[in-house]
Amino acid sequence: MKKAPLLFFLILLSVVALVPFIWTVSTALKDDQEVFAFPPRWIPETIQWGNFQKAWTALPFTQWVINTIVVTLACTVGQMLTGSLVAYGFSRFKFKGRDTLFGLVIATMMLPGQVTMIPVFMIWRELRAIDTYWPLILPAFFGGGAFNIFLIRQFFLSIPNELDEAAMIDGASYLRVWWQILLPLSAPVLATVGVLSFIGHWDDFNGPLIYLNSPEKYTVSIGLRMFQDSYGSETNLLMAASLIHILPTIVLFFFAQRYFMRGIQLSGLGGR
Amino acid sequence: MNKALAIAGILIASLAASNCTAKADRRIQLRYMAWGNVEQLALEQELVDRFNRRNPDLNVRLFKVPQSAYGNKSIVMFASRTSPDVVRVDHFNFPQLAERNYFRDLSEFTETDPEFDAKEFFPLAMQENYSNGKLLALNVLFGGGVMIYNKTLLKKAGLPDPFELWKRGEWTTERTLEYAIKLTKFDANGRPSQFGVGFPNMPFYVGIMYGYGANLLSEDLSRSAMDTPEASEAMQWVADLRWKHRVCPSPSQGANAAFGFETGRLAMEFNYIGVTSRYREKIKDFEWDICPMPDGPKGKSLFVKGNQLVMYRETKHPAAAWRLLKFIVSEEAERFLYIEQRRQSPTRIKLAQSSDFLQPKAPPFNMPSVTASVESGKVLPIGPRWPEVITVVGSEFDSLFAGRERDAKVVLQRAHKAVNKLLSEDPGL
Amino acid sequence: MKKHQPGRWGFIFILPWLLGFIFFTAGPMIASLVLSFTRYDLSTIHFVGTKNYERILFDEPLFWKSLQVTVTYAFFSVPLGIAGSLALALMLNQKVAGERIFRTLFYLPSLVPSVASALLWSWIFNADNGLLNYTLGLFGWGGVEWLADERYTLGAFVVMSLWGIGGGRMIIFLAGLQGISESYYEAARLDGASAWRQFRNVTLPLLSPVMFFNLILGVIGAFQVFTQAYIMTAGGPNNATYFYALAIFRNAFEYFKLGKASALAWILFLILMAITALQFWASKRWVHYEGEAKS
Repeated sequence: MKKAPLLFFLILLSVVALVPFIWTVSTALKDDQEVFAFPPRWIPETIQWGNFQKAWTALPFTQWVINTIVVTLACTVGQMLTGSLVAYGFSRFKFKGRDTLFGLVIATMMLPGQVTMIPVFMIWRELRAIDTYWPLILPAFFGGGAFNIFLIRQFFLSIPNELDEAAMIDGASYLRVWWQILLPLSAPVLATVGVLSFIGHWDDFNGPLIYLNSPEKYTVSIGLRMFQDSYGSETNLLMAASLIHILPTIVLFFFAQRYFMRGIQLSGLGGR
Repeated sequence: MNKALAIAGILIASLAASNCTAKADRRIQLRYMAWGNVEQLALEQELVDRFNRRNPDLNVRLFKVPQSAYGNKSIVMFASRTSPDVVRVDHFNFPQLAERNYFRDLSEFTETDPEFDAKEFFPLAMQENYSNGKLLALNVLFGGGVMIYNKTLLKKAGLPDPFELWKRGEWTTERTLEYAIKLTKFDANGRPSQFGVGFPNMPFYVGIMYGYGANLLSEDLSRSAMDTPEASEAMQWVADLRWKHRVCPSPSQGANAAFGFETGRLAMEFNYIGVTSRYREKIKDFEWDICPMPDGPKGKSLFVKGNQLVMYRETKHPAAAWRLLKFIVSEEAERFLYIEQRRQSPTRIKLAQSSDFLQPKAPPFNMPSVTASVESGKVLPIGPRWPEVITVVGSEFDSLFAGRERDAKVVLQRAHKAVNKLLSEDPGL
Repeated sequence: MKKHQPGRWGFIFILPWLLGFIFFTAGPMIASLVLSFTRYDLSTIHFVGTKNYERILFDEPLFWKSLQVTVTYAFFSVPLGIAGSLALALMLNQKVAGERIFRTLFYLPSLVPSVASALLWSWIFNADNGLLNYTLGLFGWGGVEWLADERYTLGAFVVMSLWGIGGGRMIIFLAGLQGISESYYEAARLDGASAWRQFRNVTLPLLSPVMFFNLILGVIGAFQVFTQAYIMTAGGPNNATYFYALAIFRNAFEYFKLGKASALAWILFLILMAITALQFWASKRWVHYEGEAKS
């Protein structure tokens, strides 16, 4: 393929990918009347940095961001820990029914969440855990999701058993092998799992929608919905609030990018 | 291993902390839930603060839930036993929820408390509070809809004041249309710069139906009444506002703030008086006031509806919750909410007829517009199956309001069939 | 030789998953199957046999509507999405300058949380002031009520889904492409194959497992679209975006017909299983695993 037209095309595509972002930022920085000006302007006449502050203080975003961070971090840690533990079990040990059970793990990747949604809600209701964070956090500590188990197991399979055996000869328990040998070597795939988990839980709308009732417990996704309700007609503030929701995942991605990309490649998902 | 345990420990601790309620407080904690826009919720908070000051052994916290999710949220909370102690329930949902035993019977308080006298309230307001013969609520935000109009724009167009016309019995749907046409303007590019009237959403179009002699359901709420020619005429008038005469913003134009009443680019709108507290604050560059909904060819378009303040059945502090309930409908609170802040009509007859209410010092001044609904308005056809009915009706009317179907008769026939089918079936399936 | 029973330890390590599976997956699945034969509104429960299913399949046009909406959406967004991701990956694989930067830029849209994305796109699709109509207007194409006109709303959702084609799926394709040994291409070129032939006979077959994987997950994902429909259109206009997941949510948490919602969920599950089984059966025809002879 010729390089110059390809480059041009790629640049065009990246512009198309970025335009919605730029437009959102542009709208967020406009004042009330300029938002609806026609023809639309890209650069506002007067840049209203204050819109961010207005959006932030109009509703308890600080509380919501803290809530979301707590829930997301807890879930991410839970998924990384238990996911790698379960992957360890599946990759390093032979026991009866192992392959069937692993097949079940894969099968659950194809399960639509709706089938279990209602009874799970009823379970939490009986446990009086509605309007708490338990329904959102606890599931992450039970294996952390089939996809993560799959990814990490693939990676463990590529680490030679000799390392395990060497450690065990030195007297390490299985748990120590997991913690001190396998985990450190799996940094790329764990970073991938961590980043994906963070993004997924930061984004989670369904869970908080069903389980959280008190506004002070809301996460940012539900809070943004509440913002849309109360201030939806003020598009500039709405865009500013949306940016508040978007920013952390993008920042995280930039920091973790290298590990993250490597992790997916190393997991051997492509082409095998 | 230690580091991980430490991190996990911190996380769990912060979780526990955020889940815990302040235990240091020895006052009885009550939760009160209500909806509203920002200004309206500020009024509720003021009321709550007054109550807290007056009752130092109690601490009431106001629970704010986004308006669109309010109906669902309250139902989920009732059903999952996490409901606040005192909840304002929209009358749209009240009959349905009342049947499920979520609300506490208030007669044990109303009949024994010497300070409470049911006769001080409008009979229609009290009537709404009953379900299957039991008194399950007190009424708040009771009243009807009005039209809010931009006096400056009307004067500029040389149009007589609608309220004066109404007093003479000449404020009709025809006049409204005439006004809307004269007040819709376009700029040089053909884009609308000003609209004559806002779209009459639910339940305002039901009011219009009343004016044409039609209704959504039969009197006993068991059948649809939408197959009448009057119903078609009424809904055709509504749809034509937007698609034939183009005096109404389109759905997406109506959704954003470009043509909000306070921008001065909407000459008239159908709304509740409660929204005027925001207008008093925000509108500085034109005069405005209210008038009743226009009369239709067959009669008045006035409707009346309240909202129910209920006590959650499984509240741990019924006596304390009763004190809050009583306070919210007390003369002092009603004076604040309805006379000072003009949130709706008072439910207390004396207050609704007082000169303080009828002759205020700030706009809107035409307060008889509000009492007209309360005194001669018709109730909306709301029964236990209302949420299902309005969903079916709403989705049929969707095509009419969005302009895909221009003939109201066709839409109403479909809605008529769908509602009758719904009502004849077993609810719950 | 190890002294302990290694097998038992493996079982212990997978216990978190197994327990979670029993309590949060298998148990609830059975429970929801049972629920689907009842009428339940969070307070009272009656057994009603197959009435829910009869009602849904024979007496409820909205069910077929939501199925139609969801299938139509999947029909367009899944193939277009996979083709788009593959095309992007192919382009990035050409060793162009700045590959890393492009990869990052293309990935960014998939990082946007769904609620924010829904709000952002609502604004872009706005009929009067939205960016899309403005851009189309520059080319002389009329303004369309993207979210209020039932002919276009689903299309808007498909367009929105394409914004994320540079996401994880593309990365996986890229990794797959980069894993294909150059020797295959050399051999093909020696045989006189053109670029297109190389693509068709080397790239596609070797990538087919990944494509298969993405196809399965893509279809399942398309059937679970919820947040955007809930926030942008509430299923409208006139049910044009009444996605299946929204139907289940509504019946469960807005109408409180939990028996019926459970029935709907199980019907969804059966449909997805059937589709997946079909895909597995068809995969024998076109998916090649490494080590097999190519045609």
